[in-house]
Amino acid sequence: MNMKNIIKILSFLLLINSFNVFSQNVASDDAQMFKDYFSKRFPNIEIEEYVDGSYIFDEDAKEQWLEIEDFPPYEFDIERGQELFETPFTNGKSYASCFENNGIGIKQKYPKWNEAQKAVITLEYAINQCRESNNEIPLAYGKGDIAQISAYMAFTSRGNIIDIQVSTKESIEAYLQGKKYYFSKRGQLNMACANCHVATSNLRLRNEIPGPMLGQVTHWPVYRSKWENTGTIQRRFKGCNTQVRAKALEYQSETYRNLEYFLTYISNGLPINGPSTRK
Amino acid sequence: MIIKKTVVVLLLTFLLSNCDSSQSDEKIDLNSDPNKVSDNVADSKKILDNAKNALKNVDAEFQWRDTHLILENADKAMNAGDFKLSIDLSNKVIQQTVLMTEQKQFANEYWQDLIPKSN
Repeated sequence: MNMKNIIKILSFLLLINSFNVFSQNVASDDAQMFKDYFSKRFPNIEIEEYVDGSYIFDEDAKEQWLEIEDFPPYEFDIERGQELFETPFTNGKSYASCFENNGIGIKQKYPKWNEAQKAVITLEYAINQCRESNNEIPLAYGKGDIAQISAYMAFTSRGNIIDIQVSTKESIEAYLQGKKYYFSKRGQLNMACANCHVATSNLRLRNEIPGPMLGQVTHWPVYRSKWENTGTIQRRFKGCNTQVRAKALEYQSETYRNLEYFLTYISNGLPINGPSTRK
Repeated sequence: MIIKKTVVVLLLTFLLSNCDSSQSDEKIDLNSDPNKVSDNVADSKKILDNAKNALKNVDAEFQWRDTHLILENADKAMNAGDFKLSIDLSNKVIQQTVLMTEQKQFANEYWQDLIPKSN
């Protein structure tokens, strides 16, 4: 091999490496920028506190919420979720066979970019992929069994630090698509997610304080009093879309998965504290 | 510029959401004038098809919550022989799809404006 070819190969490798570094920087710069933004805006609130959502802005509401958390309504969902998780499929295998560490304490790594599928895989999506690969019918998304299994898996991950990776060209594209969705105005009310969860966080929208973007993903699945049951984060995405009079997208659509990927990456470094309760 | 565009979109949204979509009293008498009836059927169907196509062509991410309901009502009105109402509702759908498309263009151009500045 002559010197010219060696230089060409080295240049190519350098180019690929520089792109990966660039990609990681774009996302990590974002994560730091949003943390800085909230730190400057609310200097008395520590970054770790953002896992409590809008309750960090309202002492009375937080007190009531903590009382609910003493005997949480999602407790039955965790138990049911564990039962479902441990029930073998008809082929004798179980969910544990599909996940790293047998599915225990892994929620902090989801959503993750899957290089083979060239797609973002959320935890609920992975649960259904697991079922399908074991010849089981996929579960309906949003609530019910899938939310309960997810709640159990989140429960086993409590305290684990969110660690989402964005490191390849395709994953950075998915991340950026999620980011663009979050900041784009849509629906008849012409509102973006960011209008409520960035600009208006700590202000009231009618009688509610919207949760800030940072830490927005740490506590899912959630038992919402409004729902009277436990639901997944994408159920909330649909609700938000509907509230601004936009047509809600399908569960686990590429757009929603990318949105969840972006939002979770922004909360890298915060601990999982799901499942939880919300109004 | 951004504020102007936002104000225009909001105004149009407000105006459209307050458009009168109540039932029209001017139903076509199917026994009176066969030519007029067939004209209205053709017009109504054509505009309804245009509305359906217009909505189909809007990116799912930018479709509005209730537009397909208006389209369903336009379909029902045509089937019930209320061609004027069907045309009104179809036109409303077409107007909304124009706004959806403008909203998407605006988002493509200005979505980063909502990202807080780092300093």
